[in-house]
Amino acid sequence: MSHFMNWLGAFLNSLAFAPLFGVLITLGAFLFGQKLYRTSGQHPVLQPVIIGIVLVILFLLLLDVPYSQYYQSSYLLHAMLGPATVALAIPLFQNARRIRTLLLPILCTVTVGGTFTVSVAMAILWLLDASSQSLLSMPTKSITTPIAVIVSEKIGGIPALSALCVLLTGALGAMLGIPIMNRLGIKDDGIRGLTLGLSAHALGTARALEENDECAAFSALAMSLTGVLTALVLPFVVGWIAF
Amino acid sequence: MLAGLLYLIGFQLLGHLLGALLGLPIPAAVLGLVLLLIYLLVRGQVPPALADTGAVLLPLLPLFLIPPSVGIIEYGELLRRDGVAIALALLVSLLLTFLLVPYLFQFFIRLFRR
Repeated sequence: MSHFMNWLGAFLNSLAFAPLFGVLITLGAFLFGQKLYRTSGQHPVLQPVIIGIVLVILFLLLLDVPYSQYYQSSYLLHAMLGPATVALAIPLFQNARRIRTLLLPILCTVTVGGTFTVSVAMAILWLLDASSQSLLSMPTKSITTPIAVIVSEKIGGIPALSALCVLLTGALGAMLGIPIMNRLGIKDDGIRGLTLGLSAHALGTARALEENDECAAFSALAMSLTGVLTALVLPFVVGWIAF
Repeated sequence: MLAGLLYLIGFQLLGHLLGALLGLPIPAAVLGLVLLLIYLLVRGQVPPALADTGAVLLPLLPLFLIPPSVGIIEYGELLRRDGVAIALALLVSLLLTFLLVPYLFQFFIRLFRR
């Protein structure tokens, strides 16, 4: 038996160093996540991406595969992040055309609200004496994960930590947003959608989609505008502060 | 599918070029997104090939995010040091945002209606 276990361990370990191994386990983990998400009735915390990340981490720890090894052998997937991010222009264009009449107030709200939420988070981190690495990974917290990862890389943050902050924000926002706005008596679908998209990006938009189409369109628009504006402004702000 | 992919990679490279020419610190993919948006606004519609590729790629975005996110396993020490502060910052800023943004939006709608 122990002989077999040794053999199995060696086999799995050699597999772990095969090219595209990372693609294989990532695909498997993501598909499993999708399945669990659907059977759970689409619970926001059980997002396929969150389950996928947890499963891949467990797998790497179990087989003792270093992250650099996984990163190389899954690079094919990572490389698609750029083109897929460019494709975000398509829903942005469609939603902007649909909500044309309110574009100006939406832009202003996104600018002020987005600056506010990041400033509060940064102030708390600073007061609690967090490290500069953590501070630099925080300002992308409420924008859609692909843009957050790409921007974090650019401004000297830790992309993985930024992704974690984004996913946590999204899960919390998708759970708490609607109950809070119900308590406040905010009933307008446009306002609810915009608030969800601005603060909880794609996960907020998934929640908005459960409300109705109008709510989802505002959420999707707010999400992409917040992401694009943050990505355009943040690198300059960080550059000025750091000289 | 492939023609649409050509658009996306093409615009990302254009973004790269623009960023390098102007010395912008903005990521190439974001500049590519903005350039594609301008192109769509000028054209007034999404080319069918691009729409097809978008419909395939966009739902897969979360999949492409798993490899960079898994990198968090290398930062256990940082999480032990700053984890509580980060969680608190995320929760408090989120709650305050939910209290502010609905009224902010109403304010701006009224401001621009005048």
